[in-house]
Amino acid sequence: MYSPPNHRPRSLKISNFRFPLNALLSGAHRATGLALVISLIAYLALANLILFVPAVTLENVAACWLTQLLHTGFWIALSYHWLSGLRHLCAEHFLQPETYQVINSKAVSYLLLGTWFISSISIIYRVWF
Amino acid sequence: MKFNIKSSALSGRKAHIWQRISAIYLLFYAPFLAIVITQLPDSVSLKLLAYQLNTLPFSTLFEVASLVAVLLVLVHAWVGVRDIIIDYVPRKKVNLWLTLYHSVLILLLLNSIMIAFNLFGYA
Repeated sequence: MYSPPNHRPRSLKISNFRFPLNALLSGAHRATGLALVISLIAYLALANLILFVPAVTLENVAACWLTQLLHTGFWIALSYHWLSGLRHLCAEHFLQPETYQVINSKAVSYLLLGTWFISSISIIYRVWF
Repeated sequence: MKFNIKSSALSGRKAHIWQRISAIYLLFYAPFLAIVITQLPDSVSLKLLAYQLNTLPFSTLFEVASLVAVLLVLVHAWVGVRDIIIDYVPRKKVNLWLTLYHSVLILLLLNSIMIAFNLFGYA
């Protein structure tokens, strides 16, 4: 964990900080990455159950609400991680000041959130209906 | 294979390069995976699902792409969560958490190979 080299004022209470939108989006990229690792472990656990426990079948598992919740969480997290990852890659590749400013602008942040919202609605519809 | 991971021995530059390579590959693979999944009919068993995957017109391409994707997902997951552990876990416990996480990823890789053998007869 980062330790400041001097005695600057600091707070361990995260609600004391006001993060800019890009910092929140970047933090969410990490959070969704972690969620994806956890959901991959859950998918592997399900595959093991289906393959090695005769009482558990793919048909049973697919109909279970927990599996549908897992699908929803996985694809929603993946769509966000994909979109913000694309933005990170663009920001690292296009280093000219004008392009960099456009990539990091509020308009692009809201475009990312809007696209993610629409894709999340379609994921929920596809999984549950 | 090293099991005892020490944060002082980790490289930031190499990790960044691998993170970018895997990110670019997965950027193209994820939509491909979504398209393939939407094309599959409902299955009653994993073996039938594997058979249905084999009958798709681009099944060989999908299988090779998926094999590379599994390896790159593990690389991407290693670098990403490794950075989270280094940033947020108290310094005294970093090496322990890195070793644990590294072992979990190796287990996931072995388990994925086992499942692939079971479903397709090869890996």
